[in-house]
Amino acid sequence: MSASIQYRQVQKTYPKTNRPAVEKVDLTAPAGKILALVGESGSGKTTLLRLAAGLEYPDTGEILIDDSPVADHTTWVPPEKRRIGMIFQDGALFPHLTAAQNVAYGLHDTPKESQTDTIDRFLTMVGLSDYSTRFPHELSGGERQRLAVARALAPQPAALLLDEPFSNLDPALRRSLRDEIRAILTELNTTAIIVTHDTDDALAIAHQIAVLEEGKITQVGPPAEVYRHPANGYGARLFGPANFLPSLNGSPEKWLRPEDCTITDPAAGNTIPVEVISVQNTGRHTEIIAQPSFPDPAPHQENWLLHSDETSPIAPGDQLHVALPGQS
Amino acid sequence: MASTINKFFKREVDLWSTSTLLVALLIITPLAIVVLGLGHAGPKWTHISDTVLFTYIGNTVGLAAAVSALALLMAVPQAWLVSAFEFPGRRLFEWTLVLPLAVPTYVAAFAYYHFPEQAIPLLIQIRDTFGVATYAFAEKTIRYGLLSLFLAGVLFPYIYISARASFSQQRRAVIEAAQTLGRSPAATFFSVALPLARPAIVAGLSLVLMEVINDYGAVHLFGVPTLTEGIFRTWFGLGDRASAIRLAGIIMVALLAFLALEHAHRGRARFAEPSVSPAPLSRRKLSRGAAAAAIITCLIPLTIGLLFPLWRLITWSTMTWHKVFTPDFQQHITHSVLLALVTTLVLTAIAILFAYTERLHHSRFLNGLGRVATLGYAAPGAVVAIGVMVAFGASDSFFASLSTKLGLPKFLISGSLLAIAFAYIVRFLAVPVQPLRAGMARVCGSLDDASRILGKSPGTTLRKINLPILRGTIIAAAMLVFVDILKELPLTIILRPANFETLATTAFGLATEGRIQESAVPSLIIVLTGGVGLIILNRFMRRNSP
Repeated sequence: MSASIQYRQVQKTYPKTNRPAVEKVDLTAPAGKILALVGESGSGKTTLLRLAAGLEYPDTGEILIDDSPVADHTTWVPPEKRRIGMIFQDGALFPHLTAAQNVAYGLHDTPKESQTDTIDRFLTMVGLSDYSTRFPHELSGGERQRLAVARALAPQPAALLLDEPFSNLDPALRRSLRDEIRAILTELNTTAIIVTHDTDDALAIAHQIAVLEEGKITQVGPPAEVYRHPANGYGARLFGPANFLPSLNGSPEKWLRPEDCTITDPAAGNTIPVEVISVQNTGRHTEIIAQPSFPDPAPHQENWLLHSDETSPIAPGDQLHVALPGQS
Repeated sequence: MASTINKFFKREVDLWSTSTLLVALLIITPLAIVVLGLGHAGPKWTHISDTVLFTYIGNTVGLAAAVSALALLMAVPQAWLVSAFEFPGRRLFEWTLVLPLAVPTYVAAFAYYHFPEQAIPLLIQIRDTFGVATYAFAEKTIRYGLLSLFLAGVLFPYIYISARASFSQQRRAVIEAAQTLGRSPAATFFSVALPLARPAIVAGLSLVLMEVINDYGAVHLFGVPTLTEGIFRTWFGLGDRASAIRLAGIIMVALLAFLALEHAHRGRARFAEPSVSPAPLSRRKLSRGAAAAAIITCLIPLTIGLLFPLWRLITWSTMTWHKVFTPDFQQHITHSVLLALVTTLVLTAIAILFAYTERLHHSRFLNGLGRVATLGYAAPGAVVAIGVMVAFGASDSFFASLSTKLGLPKFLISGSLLAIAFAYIVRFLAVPVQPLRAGMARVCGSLDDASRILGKSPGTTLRKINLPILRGTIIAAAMLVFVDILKELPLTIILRPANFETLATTAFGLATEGRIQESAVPSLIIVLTGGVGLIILNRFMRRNSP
């Protein structure tokens, strides 16, 4: 069974801080889908997660799980009654319990006779069936995080919260664990909110991405939309280099990904002329830093990053033309 | 408004916060009574302030200054030597320099009691040569000087422990950078290591000061009337309770001001403190001559604070144990141990309650209250005892009138073991609360959050997660409390029920009767218990250090 998680006008300010950690947030994690929260450090991602878990109290607003309020001006459901699973950044495995005992910890509602089966099933699901008697310190980083997944999912929570679950892992392990977790969550049809500062994780795992900037939600959408059509410069730069295109002839301002800007022939028409400032060969392609010139100079004109696979040499001072998406 | 109150009650009011609130208020009451007592002058106050008050204050400040200076000399160079250099016996000194803490100040006074007598021939010569005024000055100098010396000898480990911890956590790179910039080891110490360790040294020093002000036994035996001695004289000598409370209030307010200053100092300095480095200081091997000097430097405080008192106690005990070890004395041991044990259990339970409630409720009010309730560690035992006595005196009269109305037999709490146990709780709560608070924050991290999310109540989480994980910290904290209670003197003298003796009061009673050699037997038991406690604690801390 999976349930939606809704935030309605949720606000939270920590003592001794001068701005809210989250400010009037309206957000829904749809049932059975994975929602990723991305943003810079201190943007309020983890606070939103802890609010859903019941580890923090909202100052105002309400939080609903499966359409029932769990925190509002009259209701307060403590964390142990919310039927939520959570995976912590450091795993938060109980060091004095074995892998099997860690998984069993949340199974107090499961009848004794089926507990062993449940433990076996979830340890097998994360590939740790042979490690049931090991203690957390006897497992590798990846195994520990897998055990945390099994422990969180075994009580069959209504939703799962993941707080930077891959941040302590090396890149290769990170990718394989990310794929495994996505497969498991999809198979179990579990609602999940994942907090990550790594936007690659968010793009790879989530059905929806919410961008947080200084406690406010600035954009919510499917990964491709958030990546291709960022709502502002903050959202654009969060996912990698972005070239700012000011409002031209009444069209809205945009941020373009370098891979969407093609160096082309001036005759193609409707191109942006740029002057090359520096060139660097990265092995995969040539990276060009160039200054665009617009008919009507924008108040803040930033340099662009372009990629080129051309074999002909490009040098600083060269004049090039860039075709915009859909115009090359 | 109604919904805000409703919300507050739903989130903040539970068994944990309510019991913490009640216990904290109960513990704060005697301390508050003492501070409020500042406003009331007793009948003898004018006499006291005209005659002895400034002697009390002068002696307290003078003694604190002398002990601080000597304790710094006995602690800081030694801490630097065992942290930064390699020499024969270094490992032994590293942990034995902590052991003088096992010798209570009044036991050290027993060991050094006969010293001024040895100076009598010299003093007579001074009198005959320079006159009575010089004689009096010389006699006082010897007494005060000796008192300062052995008090520093048993209290310096407070500074040594924190300084050593600070030196051993300093980043190797910083020290090595100073050395590669051409600084000698001595210059490196003064220009880099010492400034970095200053906050830790000040923290240790503040504990030394509190112990000096707390002391009653040693200053009494050496005839140096400090403010604490003044409380005893005013209450039991002059019979002026209100003025005694006022003296206690003066000490309490001065200590609170000092703590606030120290806190402000540490608050700024925290940013300057280095993080724990995985690369510890690499110790430089000392040449033969330098190694001999290092050994002597470490041996001096160890001799003053531990070896000499221990030698005295052992010699005297072998001479007198058959006289002292009577069935009465065995009963005193049983009393002492039982009282300390039961109080330790209650104190540890309260400390767990406080530390856990702080984790459950991020309430500034509750946390603040918890901190105020642990202020008793700064208050001298005599001050706490007075607060407790006044508080229970008031409750006694209330219950007396109640029992008269109801026709029940009368019961006095103020003369009972309950009062003394409660006073120990007020005085020593900080001892287990601080390590438990730190332990919960450091070791438990998000583990109890994880347990709650997995459906366990706060109580089950405490029982299944926090307590098993913190078992070592709890045992270590309880042991510290046990040793502190076992050796406590001034509070016990004031509050013990009639004919009830502990090891500490037995030792002090024998000493004040002039039976110093017999007092060695109970003293030795206290010192050995404390020493074993410190050794176990040292092992535990070494095992748990990163």
